[in-house]
Amino acid sequence: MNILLKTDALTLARGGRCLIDGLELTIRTGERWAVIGPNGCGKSTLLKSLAGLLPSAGGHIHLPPGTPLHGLPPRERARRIGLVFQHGNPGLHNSTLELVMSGHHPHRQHWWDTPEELAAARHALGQVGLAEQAAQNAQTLSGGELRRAEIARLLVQNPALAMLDEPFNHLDIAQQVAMTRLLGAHFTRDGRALLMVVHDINMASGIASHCLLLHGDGRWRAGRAREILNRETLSELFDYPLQACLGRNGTVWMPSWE
Amino acid sequence: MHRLLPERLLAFTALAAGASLLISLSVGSTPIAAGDILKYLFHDDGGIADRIVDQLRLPRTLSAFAIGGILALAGALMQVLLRNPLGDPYVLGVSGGASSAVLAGMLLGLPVLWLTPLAFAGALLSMLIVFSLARSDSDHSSARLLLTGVVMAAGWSALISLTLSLSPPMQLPGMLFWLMGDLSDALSPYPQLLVLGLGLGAALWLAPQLNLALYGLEQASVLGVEPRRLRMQLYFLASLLTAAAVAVAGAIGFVGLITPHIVRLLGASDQRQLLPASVLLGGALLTLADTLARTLISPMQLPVGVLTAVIGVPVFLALLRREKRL
Repeated sequence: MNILLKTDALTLARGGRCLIDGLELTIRTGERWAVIGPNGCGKSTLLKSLAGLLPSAGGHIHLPPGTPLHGLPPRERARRIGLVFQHGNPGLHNSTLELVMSGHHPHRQHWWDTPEELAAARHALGQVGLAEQAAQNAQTLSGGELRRAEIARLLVQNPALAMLDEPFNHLDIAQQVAMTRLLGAHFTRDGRALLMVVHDINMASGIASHCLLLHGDGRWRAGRAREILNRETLSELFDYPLQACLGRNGTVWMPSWE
Repeated sequence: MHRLLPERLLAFTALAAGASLLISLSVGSTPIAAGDILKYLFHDDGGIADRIVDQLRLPRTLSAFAIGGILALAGALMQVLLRNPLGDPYVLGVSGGASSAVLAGMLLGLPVLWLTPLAFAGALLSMLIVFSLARSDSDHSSARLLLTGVVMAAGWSALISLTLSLSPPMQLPGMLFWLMGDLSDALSPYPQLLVLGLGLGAALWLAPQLNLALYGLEQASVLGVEPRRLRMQLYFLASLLTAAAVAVAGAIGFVGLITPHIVRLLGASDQRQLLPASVLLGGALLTLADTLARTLISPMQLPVGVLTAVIGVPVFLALLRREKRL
């Protein structure tokens, strides 16, 4: 298992507040990471920093073998790391197919679109169930459809490390499962890995092999999901008592209502 | 509204451009049949009609076309740079700088030949001021650039009003004419055509990155664009194009604002089609407007900037209404 991304004492701050202090995170191929934490704990900030969009307050981000993130040419970086934002952007007057086609940019050899690129984009749209919306103006897509179109673009971009910021927040329950399976299948083979911000703890425990818990005051905890997802860590993380219920497919987390 | 296919869109705008050139060459105080135009262009027979076409109408027609194309291109680029549909070549104050410099020159009684270089210098000065003030813009937003530019434009506009109010009445008509945009001082069309060709080449080279910028600079950055560099390239390209157009023809309004919108309403969203189609359509629009400007009340000439609005407003509003019925 090769290392795809490694942070070295990474410290992130926002508005003068330290969110993450001295993070040591190592993401290897084949891993599925879930980032969990309360509102405003720095989940999105972390993803943007790992994608090179925000400066860090300290520490380093390495993309092995031995390359600092900020030393990479932009297109090379886009082949290594992809990010679907929390809030989608449909663009301006473009079709859904054009939105997905933009994922080819880091790999592009030509100024024009090749038939192979178009076929790959159509295939990705089919994978997320939007084949019929290809010609539709992307601004007229619903929130869930736009999210799926952006997932299709991520499949086309096909980075080694795919990051998604709350990818399921506009999706119905069936689509959540479908997209989870699609992403999990695609980004855990061929030397890839997945990192997702997930609000639903049950979703996270269902799909993640590893978890990163962010407290928002600098503290963090990273490790294998089954080792660090327990009643004590989660109740402490959200500062609210949680209880585990045994369901048919494993543990289900519920808030204690009393 | 039915959207045109990309190839049809380019064919349509090319046809509009060709037709506008032909109309402009044949219409005037001496009407020349459109069928004879090609003959006069390519064979010298030394007759009056031949000289009218070759020496009078051709340079002016090509100038109008080039300036229209430059303005439309600059407008399309500004709309991407600012991610704002109201972006036009003048929104960041480039023309205000040029106009202020020219009016000051006129007030000081400088020779007419100085006005074009003066306009260009004024435009460059304004462009550099805005750029250096807006440098601290964050990587992924152009809000500061837009605000700085708009405030600069307002400042120039106040300076222009002040200059006009202080100017001797004798000079006012000339000044107002310059402010509204006028192509009659364009001596040779070739510098403009060269600027247009180089500008379009550079813009097409950037076009794949511009397509990504439409999803926001953060998204573009994730897909492999260096946002800071792209923004700087866009800013300088659009501003230099505007400066060239303003220096030759004054501040001709409206072409740069509405042409890219018309092209979008016709169905183009990919910048690789939108930019060349905007150039062709902007060229056609200004060529037709200039033809009307020099013939409507001939031998007097109207300011072409007024006519671009007279043609552009109804065309644009009609297209917008059709789009709504979609």
